[in-house]
Amino acid sequence: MTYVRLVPGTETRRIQTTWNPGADIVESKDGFALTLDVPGIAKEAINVKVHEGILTVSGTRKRSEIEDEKLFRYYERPDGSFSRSFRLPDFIDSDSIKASYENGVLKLEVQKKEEAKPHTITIK
Amino acid sequence: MLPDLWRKRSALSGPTMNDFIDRFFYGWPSYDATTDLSWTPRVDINENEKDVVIEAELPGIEKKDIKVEVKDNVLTLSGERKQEKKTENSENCCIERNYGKFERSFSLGDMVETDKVSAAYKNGVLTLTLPKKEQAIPKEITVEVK
Repeated sequence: MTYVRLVPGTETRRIQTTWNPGADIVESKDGFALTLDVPGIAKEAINVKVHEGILTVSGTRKRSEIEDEKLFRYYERPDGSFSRSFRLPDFIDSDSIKASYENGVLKLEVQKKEEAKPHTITIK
Repeated sequence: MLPDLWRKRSALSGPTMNDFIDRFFYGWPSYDATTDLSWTPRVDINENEKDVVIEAELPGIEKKDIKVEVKDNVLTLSGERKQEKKTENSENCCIERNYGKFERSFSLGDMVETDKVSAAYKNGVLTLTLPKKEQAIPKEITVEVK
């Protein structure tokens, strides 16, 4: 196992300035559930927007850095703005989108239009 | 190109270059081949006047599933992120988030008071505060000039 060693006066940066949060997409018979990892961001700093059938999640994370060369600094977490877009299929009811944020995870639920949901046809 | 929400990723199209880049930056690979760790949480470490603060990204993990241990001057953070069980009526279109066991260790040297480590979890980030030892805190000495 490799350790991160705390050595005073050293700085390590393994970061990028723009980043894409990882997303899971799960389809059910009623709609889609999108789950994104956006840890360490206040709910208010996350934007969810739907425009012309494209769903965009964006936001910014700002790190508070201490400028002192004598102190230990080690950065891996991305710092800066992120944005991810998803094209919504036509059969999605874009008014139905629900968003919730808990433990650093953003969950979006979109419903399919009534006619797109699986249904059975009765034979007369 | 935008990912289509409803289009399954086929083996043919495969992951894109962007996926590789995202993946690479997403979780730092674990170098330990002896365990079955599947991901490594990203961390930031900042030292201030009194403490060393470690912030680890652990989104979507219950507090009870996170373990923090200090042994032989090595702080180890471990736990597991469980994947929600797939139901009969659902289908995974795209899974990019990391699941499974994780572990990360930090060699503390003789900088911190290992028995006074405190932890807090908020918005998916675990913050560990490690108070520095007296001798590691810079002291200001005033010398009176007579």
